[in-house]
Amino acid sequence: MPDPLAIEVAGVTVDFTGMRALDGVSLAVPTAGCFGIVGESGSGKSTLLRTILGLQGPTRGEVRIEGVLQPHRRDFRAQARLVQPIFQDPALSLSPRRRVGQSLDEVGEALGEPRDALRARLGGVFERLGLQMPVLDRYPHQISGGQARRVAIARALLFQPRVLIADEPTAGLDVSVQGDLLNLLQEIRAATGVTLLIVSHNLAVIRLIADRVAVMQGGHIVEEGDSRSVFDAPRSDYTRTLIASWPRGQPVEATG
Amino acid sequence: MTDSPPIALQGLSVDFLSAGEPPARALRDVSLTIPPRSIVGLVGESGSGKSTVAMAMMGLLAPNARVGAGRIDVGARRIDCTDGAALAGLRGRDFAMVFQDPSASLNPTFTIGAHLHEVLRTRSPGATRAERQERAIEALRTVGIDRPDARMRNHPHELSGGMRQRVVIAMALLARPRLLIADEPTTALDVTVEAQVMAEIVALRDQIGCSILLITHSLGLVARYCDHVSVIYAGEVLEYGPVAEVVRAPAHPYSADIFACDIEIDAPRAPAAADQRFRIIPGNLPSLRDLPAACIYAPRCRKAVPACMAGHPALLPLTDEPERETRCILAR
Amino acid sequence: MRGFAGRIWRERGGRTGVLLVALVLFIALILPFATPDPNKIDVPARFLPPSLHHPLGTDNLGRDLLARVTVGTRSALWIACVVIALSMAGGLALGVIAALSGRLVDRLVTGFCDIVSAFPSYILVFSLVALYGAGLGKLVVAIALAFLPQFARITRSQALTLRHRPFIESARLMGLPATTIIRRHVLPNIVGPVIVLASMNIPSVITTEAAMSFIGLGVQPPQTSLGTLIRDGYVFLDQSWWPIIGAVAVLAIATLGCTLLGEALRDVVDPKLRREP
Repeated sequence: MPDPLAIEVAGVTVDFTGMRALDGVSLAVPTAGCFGIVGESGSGKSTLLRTILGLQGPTRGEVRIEGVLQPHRRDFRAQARLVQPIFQDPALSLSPRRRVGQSLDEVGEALGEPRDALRARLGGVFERLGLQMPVLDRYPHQISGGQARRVAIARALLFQPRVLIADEPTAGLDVSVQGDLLNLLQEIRAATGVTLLIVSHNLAVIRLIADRVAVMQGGHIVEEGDSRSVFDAPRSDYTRTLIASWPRGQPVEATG
Repeated sequence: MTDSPPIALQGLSVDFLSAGEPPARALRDVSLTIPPRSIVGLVGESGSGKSTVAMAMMGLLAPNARVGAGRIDVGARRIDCTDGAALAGLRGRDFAMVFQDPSASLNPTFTIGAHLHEVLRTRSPGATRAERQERAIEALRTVGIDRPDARMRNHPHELSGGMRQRVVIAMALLARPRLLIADEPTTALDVTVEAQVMAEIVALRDQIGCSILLITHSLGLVARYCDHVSVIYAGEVLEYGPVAEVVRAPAHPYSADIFACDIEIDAPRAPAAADQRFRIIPGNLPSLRDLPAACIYAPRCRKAVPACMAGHPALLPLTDEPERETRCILAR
Repeated sequence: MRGFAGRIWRERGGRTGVLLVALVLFIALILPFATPDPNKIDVPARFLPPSLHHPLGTDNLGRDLLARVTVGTRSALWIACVVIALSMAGGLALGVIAALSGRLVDRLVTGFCDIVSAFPSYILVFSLVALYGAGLGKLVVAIALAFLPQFARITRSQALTLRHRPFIESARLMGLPATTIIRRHVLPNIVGPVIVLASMNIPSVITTEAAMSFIGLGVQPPQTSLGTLIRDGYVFLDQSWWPIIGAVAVLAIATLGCTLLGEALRDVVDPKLRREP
């Protein structure tokens, strides 16, 4: 029997009142790679992300993560070790009224792991992410945006999930710092073998970081395939339009 | 028209005051030259002060801002940037603005038509209501809004973000300013809509012959649409020049570094996506409350030499390319 | 907390509110130690005008009115606190359940709230007491029920906006139990507006209780509340006018003070609520 897929989306339709957000979407995300989902606002990419995470129940269809049926809005406990999110603004994914250390200790609570054991593992994760222990005593508003992003990632990594799902990870980041986050995701991927699913409107980033890509429009996947073939020889007109609309200047000479 | 002098901003300095702290020196000696009918990009990252430049030129700074110095040359006039009343005289007549969020320019309780009529009442006081209506509909048609007569009766919330931004551009079209300041006009929009809205902004320039100051963080937009570019960092212009030359051979290491960090749609890629690594600029922005008497970028600069720390460099022309300016002492 | 109290003190009306509420608390809690037995009947001394011995005079049975006003104030405040605590607890529970359960439960809860608040609160309390009989316990439950929908509504709307906040969704995806998420992440982020609502509602509760006691459906003699005092004074208004003054004055001071304090609290806790009625 072949390895199960990291994520399998089978015929998922999501209806909101008066509107169909996803229309029979099927998707197979292989293990241990980086899979990119691109699309513009209203394409359904956010709804698909929420459906995969189980925050949104499908009207029809089903989602499997590592072969396990996604129970959708029930029993996140079993699922927490399989999949963890990295939300668009990680600072907002930390409770504003709790210290960073308290937020991270909740991982031990969720996993039923003693606090000391968790804190021991935390040391390793913090080292990998370049975080300092004093951060634990701060509130989210007292640390920088970059630190908050790393804390949110650290919390996800403490679950040692099989799949990490990042929602618009570079949105709102300056070009001088977005590379830092992308390099971090690449290191995590290499070190842990986690499957990375990135949902983004940033075609240029997805083109470089993803092995496979799905392009969404109007609740459908209009094109899916190997990143190189999708970007170099797009089959769908919409993908071609998207790529052609991306502002591009003249090639920059490598400096330094 | 072709021989009219450029719009020039000279020596703009802005501090932000807050109780109990030294002032944040948000802009220091910022100068921009915007030739007639050209599009000048003002490119910088968050915290660079690029939006503060726009707000200062429009006279719309926050109450805790203090303009220390600066003047704007418009045609034969010279406006003192510390004179709020004089700046208000430019606003809506000589200068118009497109914000990132079109809602900032549109009153949710008024129809689209009411907004356009309002512009025409100030710009063409003699026109009759029927004439104004005709010109307003024509303006909406020009910026690519279909069924413009029906849209006149809509309220802003009934339109998509891209449509609202087009309405703001139509208002600028009717105001016929000498300079349109566009502050991140497409940042909230999808790329396909971005291309359309940028095309409308360029068409506006062609139709009314105004100049455009495009304030953006997107190097792709600058390279694609601008004639000149000004690179701003931590409140200082570090480099100015024709876009093609600046992109081809940056005369300041900061320009070179952000161009290298920018991820383009046709960037070279590693054989396997897993091996791809991304460029960054190490370090942080300097504190605007405690500035060293040195090159502002030196602490993060790969090419810095001891001379960079010796004094604060001025923005000076390159010896062999006098139309380009840089603050880097190594480039001269 | 010092900064918090300081901000209330500086808020417009906040200082007056604090002083008036402090005066009412003084009347209810400290003054009883200095006044004679409120139930001591001295018929020959009935309808005495205010004097040094009886600062507010005496009533139709010669009882000291200042003493009776202090116990009346105390029971009015006590009833108000119990009522507010009950409606706040019930409203928080219903609001959170409505916001975080399925659509059916949400419809049931909001429907219940709509029905309850469709009746003017006086009419609702009046009907309930008429239906189930007068008495302090029933009155407290009836008023608490009348004020509950406001608490349920504000809790529900706050919880609904919180529900999709990333830190709540993160907590869910971590597999934390729903009770933990509600107790640790939801409630602390909604109590602010709820407490403001509670403080703004105290004056209405006090007047509702007084009104019901006034018409004889609330606190029953020999127990005393501001409402029964005003009724007793009203009955004998043609013989002397001062018995009614003390209770009415305290009622006015208490409602004004609580309203000013509640508004100051609201403006400090959540300036965005300021414009809403």
